[in-house]
Amino acid sequence: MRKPQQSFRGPDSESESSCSKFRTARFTLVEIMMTMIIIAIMAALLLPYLKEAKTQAKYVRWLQFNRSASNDPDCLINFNFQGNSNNPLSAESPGDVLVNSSIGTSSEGFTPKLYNGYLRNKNGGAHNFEWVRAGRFGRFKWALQFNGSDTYVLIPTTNAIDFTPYTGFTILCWVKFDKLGFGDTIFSKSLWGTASDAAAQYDMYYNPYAGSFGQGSFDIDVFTTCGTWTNTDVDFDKAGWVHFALRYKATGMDAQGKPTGEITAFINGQPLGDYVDTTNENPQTATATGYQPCIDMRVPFILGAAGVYRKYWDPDTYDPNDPSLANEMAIKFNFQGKMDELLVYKRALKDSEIVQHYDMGKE
Amino acid sequence: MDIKEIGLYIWTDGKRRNIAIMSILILISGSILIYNLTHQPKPPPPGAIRVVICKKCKYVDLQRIIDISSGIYKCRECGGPVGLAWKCGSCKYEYYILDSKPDLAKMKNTMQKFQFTTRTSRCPNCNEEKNVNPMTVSEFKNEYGDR
Repeated sequence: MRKPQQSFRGPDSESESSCSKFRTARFTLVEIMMTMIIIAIMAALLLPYLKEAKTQAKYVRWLQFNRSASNDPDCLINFNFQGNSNNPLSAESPGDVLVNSSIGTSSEGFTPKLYNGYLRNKNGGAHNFEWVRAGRFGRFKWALQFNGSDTYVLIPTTNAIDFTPYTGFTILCWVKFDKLGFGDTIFSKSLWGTASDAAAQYDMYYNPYAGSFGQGSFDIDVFTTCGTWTNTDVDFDKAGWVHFALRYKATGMDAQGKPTGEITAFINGQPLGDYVDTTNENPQTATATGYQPCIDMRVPFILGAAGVYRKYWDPDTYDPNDPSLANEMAIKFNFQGKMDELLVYKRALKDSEIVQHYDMGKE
Repeated sequence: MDIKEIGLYIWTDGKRRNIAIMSILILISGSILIYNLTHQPKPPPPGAIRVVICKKCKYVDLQRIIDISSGIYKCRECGGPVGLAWKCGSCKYEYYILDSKPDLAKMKNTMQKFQFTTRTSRCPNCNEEKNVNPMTVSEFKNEYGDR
């Protein structure tokens, strides 16, 4: 029992007695302080775990959403960068393959495995990618570090992703730039620099020089259009993980019988609005840029770099007698940063679906 | 005094009991805190391994780079500033590129923009424009081994 403490009210024995009785039920200041300190320490210990639990919950929610995307009949490619059993190291070829988890595609004869992504080094030999547990959901999510000089991912099969202006498609991905550099190419199915200028089926790359200098900007090439957004209102160096989407929606035919379509780029679920059609600014290239050479030459889909025409960019190594694609096509404009998800749909997703992808995937 | 007597000695006095309980709590909390601090999973280092070249002594090296323009990266040999190493495909000359602002009015389409890039990264040795690229880790290892 606590010893009665001396009263400051004086020697009144009755009041002292009742006061002492009353005081024995109280804690001392030191005890209260100690309790508060312990509670504060416990809370401080617990808070990081609560935060991590929240991150894990978001990760699980995203993973379920990603799996449901794999079942979409129009989803051709789904790289979630998690591989098998939460491990990027695929059983097929450890650490060298992005496994396409798409399973519900309705395309006839479509084999998801043929659209796996292969980690490559543009000089040949072992790739220099780094797998890092530093994706969107911290240690729960794997990401691939592109080094900006020789790393790229090759999806060699082209049949199902040889889109034409007559059909719609959507490409979505999560990217984190180390530092934006000119030409940092997120993805491409292109042969820039062919004799007929820049052949491209579709691509997306960073271009800080479009419009007002210094503003964030992206260029895209889709079929015969080279478009640029002068200001994306996003500081990509500080934005962390950024969600990109490129959508092409076929709208019909024009008076000359040529296919028409709408191109929209989205950043973090928001459409960027009207772009500057640089093809129209320079009309002599309007018929030159195009997708047909890419289809004819079976140009592969590439992540983290652009496919370029070797004869133009590297004529010393071009052999005019060698018709192989390896001779015609070289890799350039490698991207430095991380990527941790990529999906390709063979239809134009609705705005709300793209927002849903962003909402489910954001940290 | 055996352990039972010590226990009784502490437990029968309220003040000692409180102190004992608080001490145990502090010990447990402290242990958890120390465990957490020492067992935090380390995040991977940011940036990518790039080939850099010293602007002073031309020493070529591998460094983990986030933003080369920040100026924080120094040469391992002489302490001078480093730039990203580029290599000319024609004459095999190794150099670093200089920052250059574009002439916006002259750039309308993709090819013109990329031609601008090639001009800024032009080889200072042979003036080659197109066949110039950032030096890759593989090229570095072929030339310099495990430097």
